[in-house]
Amino acid sequence: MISKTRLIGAVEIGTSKVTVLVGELMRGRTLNIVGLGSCESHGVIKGGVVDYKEASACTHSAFRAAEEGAGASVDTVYLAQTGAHLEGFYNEASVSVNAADNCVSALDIDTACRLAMAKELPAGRAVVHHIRRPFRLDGRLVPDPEHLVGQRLEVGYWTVHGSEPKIGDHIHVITGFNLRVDELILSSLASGTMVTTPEERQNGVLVLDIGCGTTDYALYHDGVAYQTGVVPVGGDHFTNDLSLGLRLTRLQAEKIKLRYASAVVRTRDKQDKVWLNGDYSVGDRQFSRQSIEQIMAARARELFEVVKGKLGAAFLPDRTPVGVVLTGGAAKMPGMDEAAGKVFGVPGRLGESASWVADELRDPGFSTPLGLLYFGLNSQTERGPSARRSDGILGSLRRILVAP
Amino acid sequence: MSLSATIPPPSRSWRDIRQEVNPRAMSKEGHRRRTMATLKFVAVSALVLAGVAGAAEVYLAWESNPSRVMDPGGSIPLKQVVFSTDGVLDREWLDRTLALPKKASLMSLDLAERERRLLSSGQVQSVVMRRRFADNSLVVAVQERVPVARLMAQVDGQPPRLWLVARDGVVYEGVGYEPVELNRMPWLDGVRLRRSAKFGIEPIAGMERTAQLLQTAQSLVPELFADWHVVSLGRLATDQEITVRSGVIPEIVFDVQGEFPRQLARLDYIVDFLHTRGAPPLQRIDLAVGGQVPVELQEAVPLKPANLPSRTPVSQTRQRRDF
Repeated sequence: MISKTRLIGAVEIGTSKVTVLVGELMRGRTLNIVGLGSCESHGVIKGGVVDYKEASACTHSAFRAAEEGAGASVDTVYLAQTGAHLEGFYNEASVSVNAADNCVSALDIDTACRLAMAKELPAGRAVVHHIRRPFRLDGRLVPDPEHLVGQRLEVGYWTVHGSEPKIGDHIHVITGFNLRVDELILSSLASGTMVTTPEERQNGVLVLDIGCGTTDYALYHDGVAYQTGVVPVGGDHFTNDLSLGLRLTRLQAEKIKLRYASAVVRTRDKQDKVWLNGDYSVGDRQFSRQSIEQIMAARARELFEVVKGKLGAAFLPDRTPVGVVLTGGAAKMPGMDEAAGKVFGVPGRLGESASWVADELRDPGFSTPLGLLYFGLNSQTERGPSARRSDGILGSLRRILVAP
Repeated sequence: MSLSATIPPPSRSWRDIRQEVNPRAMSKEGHRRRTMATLKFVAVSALVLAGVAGAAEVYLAWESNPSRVMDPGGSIPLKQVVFSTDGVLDREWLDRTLALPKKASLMSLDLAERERRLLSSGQVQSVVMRRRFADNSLVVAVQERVPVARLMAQVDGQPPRLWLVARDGVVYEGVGYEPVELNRMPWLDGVRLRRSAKFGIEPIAGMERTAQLLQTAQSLVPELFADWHVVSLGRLATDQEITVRSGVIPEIVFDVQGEFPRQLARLDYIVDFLHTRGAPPLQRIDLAVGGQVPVELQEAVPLKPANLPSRTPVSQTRQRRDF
């Protein structure tokens, strides 16, 4: 039975900040965002928890702020998962249709799905997502093959898996707040769901969520995530490059990055200088704007090249007509969309949240927690038809009652 | 062997990761939430257990002695009845009317039934009864009717008895009134009594106006009112008149639709005027005619001139004067 109102906490434990959004899900159909808690992250490096106490303290602080804003306790937690430990592979299975009249039955579908998901993982790895690609019945794409006539049914799954201890660390940060994690969702899927439309995902789009320590990507074709991955390069690396290149401290480099950085070189005049502080204080220095842009452009190009390399043959500009959509805190750097477009050979743009999102949450840094709420509400990506059918009479009744 | 049987089990999912965490690894806030959750669980469990225990207790009691369940308040005996009234009814009357059993319990009392008993007496206008658990007592508050007239009537072939008539026309046998007080009331005449299921005798129509007349007379002309013996409503329905028979004037007619203070003032004036003139006793005064007040004397005597209002022509025709 669906309760009338549930409070969902969407949690992103990022490298630079922890964000908790509280959404009020009414009658399973309407979602209102009623609480927001955000604080600087500690004890997290490249999306992985390295200091449990520090990470817990800041996450719980954000949780408390969000719950205070919502005026109630969270019932359910959706947790974003990122980190370089996350990997994925594609596995396919095909079955011959059993019936004499070649009519596909639920058992055929179930068998094909189970076979495709049955690949064994190495020790210490746990599945995060099984993302099903569309069925193929005698080579033609079909969304639901049941009762269709054909001889050979094929289905493939993109399986995302990660290090069990690292996933466990993330989960235990939440359970330390006396809550349970109900959904673990890949950051790239969450943000990708938020910044792209179903039509764009159907046509083909690449979403890059550039965070502080990692860059998550998700390539969509035919309405589903075809390939996902995480590159352990993020905004911090841009800062680090500046720090090394200009011989600055990290704080100074971060300041320069936020003020003057551009992912493409636009400045032609080598004499165009910028001040570190601009207040004529002792130690204030000048830097060439072009140098800053060159360092940033090189890192951006390298980042996109790495992603392109990881995508390999899966990424074809012809099959990605919508282009590259960038989101995440580091995507706000000017010229990132242009740089991505150049590398991938498709149009690039900065992702925008849906129109219903409040102004204070429209920053790309909130796309993941927003996407968690949205993804958790709408996505059936993981569920194959067999899982859908195993709900029983109550499940059917619920679908009838809840269906719009 | 079918294909389904050979499919290996699915790989380990993140959902297989245990979500319990060592309490020592919990944050302060986590501990607080956990404590609250535990307290909430304990409270809900205690409530559920109490409910179950209560239900079991009731079931067991019902199984062993159903009457105990039907009468759960049987163990609370009634200690006393606290009685208050705004009239003359006394404790003896209350005990007699309530007729409570000696070992009555507070909860077993049917208050509605007891109320009905008290209200069966016409003297009682309203009753409020309530259980007071603080001292296991029954509180009875009675509001009584006030009689305005009396009458003698023979009901059900029994000897004629005294009945009192209240302002709202209810006829009842008065209890607890002092004889002196009763003797001051005029007798009611000219009414037709009918049986009533509720009061024994049906309320008398027109008593409200009659009571107004009596009350006004009592306050404005107390000397005259003291002599009023009989109030007759015989012509009330037909002529809208109330006839009063007093010790000195055998017949005084009042107009029900007129103003009683004005009529009483005229009566007082006429009586006083005739008395000062040494006129013979009055036989009849009709105050229901309007501007004219026909006065009938018991014997014809010539009147001395008086300063009467100009509109009152003096006439001696047939021993009758109009004021």
